[in-house]
Amino acid sequence: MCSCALFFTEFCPTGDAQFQSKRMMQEMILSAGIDIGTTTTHLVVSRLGIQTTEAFGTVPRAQIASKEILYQSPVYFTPLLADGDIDGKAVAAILEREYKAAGLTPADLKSGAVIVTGESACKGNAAHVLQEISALAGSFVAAQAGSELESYLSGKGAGADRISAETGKRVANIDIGGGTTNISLFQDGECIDTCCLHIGGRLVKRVGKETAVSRPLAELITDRRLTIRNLENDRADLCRLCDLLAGYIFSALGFRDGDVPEMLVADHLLKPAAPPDILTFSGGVAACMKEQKPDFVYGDIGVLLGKAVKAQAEKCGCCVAVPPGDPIRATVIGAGQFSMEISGSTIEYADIRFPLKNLPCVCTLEQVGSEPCAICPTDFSAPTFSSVSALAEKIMQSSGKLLEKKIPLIVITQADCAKALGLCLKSRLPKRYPFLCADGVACKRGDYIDIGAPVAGGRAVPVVVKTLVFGG
Amino acid sequence: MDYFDSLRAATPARLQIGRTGSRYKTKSYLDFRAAHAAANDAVMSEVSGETLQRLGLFEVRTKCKNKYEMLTRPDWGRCFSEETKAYLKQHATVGADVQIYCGDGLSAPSIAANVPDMLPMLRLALEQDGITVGKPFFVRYCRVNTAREIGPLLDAKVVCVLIGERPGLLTDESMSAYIVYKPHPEMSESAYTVVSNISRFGMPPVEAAAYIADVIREMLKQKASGLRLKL
Repeated sequence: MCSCALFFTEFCPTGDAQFQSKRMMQEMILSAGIDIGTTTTHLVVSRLGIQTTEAFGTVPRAQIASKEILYQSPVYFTPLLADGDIDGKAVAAILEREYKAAGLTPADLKSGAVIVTGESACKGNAAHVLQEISALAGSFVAAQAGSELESYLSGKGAGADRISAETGKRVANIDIGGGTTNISLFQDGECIDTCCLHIGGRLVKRVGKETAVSRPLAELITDRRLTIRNLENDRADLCRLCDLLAGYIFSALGFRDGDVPEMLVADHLLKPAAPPDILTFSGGVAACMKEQKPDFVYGDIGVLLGKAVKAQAEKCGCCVAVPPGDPIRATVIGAGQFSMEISGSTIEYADIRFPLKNLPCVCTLEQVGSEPCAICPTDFSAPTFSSVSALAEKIMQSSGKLLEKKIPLIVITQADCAKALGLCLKSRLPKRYPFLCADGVACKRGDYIDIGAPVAGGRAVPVVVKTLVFGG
Repeated sequence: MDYFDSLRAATPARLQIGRTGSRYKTKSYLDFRAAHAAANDAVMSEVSGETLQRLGLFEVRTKCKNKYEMLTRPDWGRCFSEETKAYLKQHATVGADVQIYCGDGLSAPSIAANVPDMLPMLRLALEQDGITVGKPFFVRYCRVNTAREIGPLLDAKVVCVLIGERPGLLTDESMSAYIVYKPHPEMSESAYTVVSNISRFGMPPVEAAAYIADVIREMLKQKASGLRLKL
């Protein structure tokens, strides 16, 4: 912005004014990531710094400015019951022990996420397990699952987003766990696509004296006429199987021709595009790729699969980046550090009891019913006084049933207009009616949203949007 | 999107616009000339009577007789003649909690662009809380420091000046709000609280007004403004 020297300026601000003086304040909140996977369960506690920046002439702005890992638990085998379901009580016991070791109580945790990942998410009792541990998860730790979110979080936790932002290249993170492989594709720091495959290190594993093969693989093994009865004796066929699986991963990424068998696709494939420029690997199998280990040290195909993936990456001539940190912890770090965002800094609310949890996002006003929800008008942009008042009027008209039941009115917009809209609503609502109007958050139909207690001196709220902005 | 596209998308500044030899491309040059001309026009043009009528504002002017005087005599741009003062006392509100007025400052187009969204929002937000708002008006050839005279003259607790910002090459319709608690002629510049960059390219005027209403409410509560105000 160039200013014209033509004028005598006595007192004239321009956009440049914001460079003059900046005052920053930071508040710290603790956030937990808890990952209950097919094979392993673990927890990471992070400290997030929410910084409020004030500059001359500007509205103070709150954002997450720092992320630091405070505590990492050991990696536990996910406790299972005899019928293969997750043992919720045992998981709760692990968490209790780890909180004690970290010197924390659930009340200390203000944010974060529990995610049930991979094959575990398909277990019949996944929802029950989340309920079992929700009391331990703090007031604002969301219980969430879903393969797209999991892919996204693992890529974020592995740092693939950062690499893509720094290099300007397209970066794919491949998180190979016990039961699933989650691929997330990043460009300019943004996740642009995800996919999840039934490929994992524990799909063939030793159970007592037997060797168990998970269902999607059993079909493939029959198809390809492989014989797998015992890990050690059938090593050659296991290597062939792992080569196949590794090949499918690189087919899914677009490096190789050939389709991925439908039975191995857990949600959907990546949208057709050129293969990524840089790969990063995370998950338990990636940890096996980093260091040499005896083939069947874990009693499964994890190490062999790691070797096969590594060989395939070399064969395809991919550029592999190795981000710092323990690859097995990518998802849990992602869950703890990246599931929360901060709303815009001019919001309006009154008489709300935080946190608000699991509000379904309703995007068309006609669909507002009589159950608690977050109204998210997605077709609203370019706010003016008349458009904001008209929107407030329409929201009031469609929220009759909510008001009858005295359910708090929650409105989330993407455009910067929450305070104006909130005030327009306030003037139409009964006196002291609880409402919240926040902006700067993108959500779509089918999403669920959690809203935590205000931060930054009451200027903004932390928000977790569950499920993602793409896919479906 | 290639790397330079994302660089360009990150800022409205003129980055990566290409060159021919050591010169701008014709389009960049014409864009620049157009933006520069718009900036000049913004300073030199007048807010029309029609605009003021639409906004429901009556008009007064400072001691300046035209734009040239306003630019060359900052001291005249901040005070009024005795007749104007008498007229204001008669036609404006005396003793309101808040007196809001608009000034052309260095950008006439900013009035028509932002005030229609700001005034009704400010009124709604303030009156909702039982704060009285004086009848708004327009000051031609206005500088920020007119607040030093308006405050004591109309006996308002808080004065809020909505004034056109010095235009840049990005937009010629940006507005600033200068807000002050109990202004007086000897007050220090640090008593102003400023919200700048109000425009459809910066902070939307309707949202800015909602925020400014908060600031005013805090000023009345803390009986302070500028550096002494804790937000």
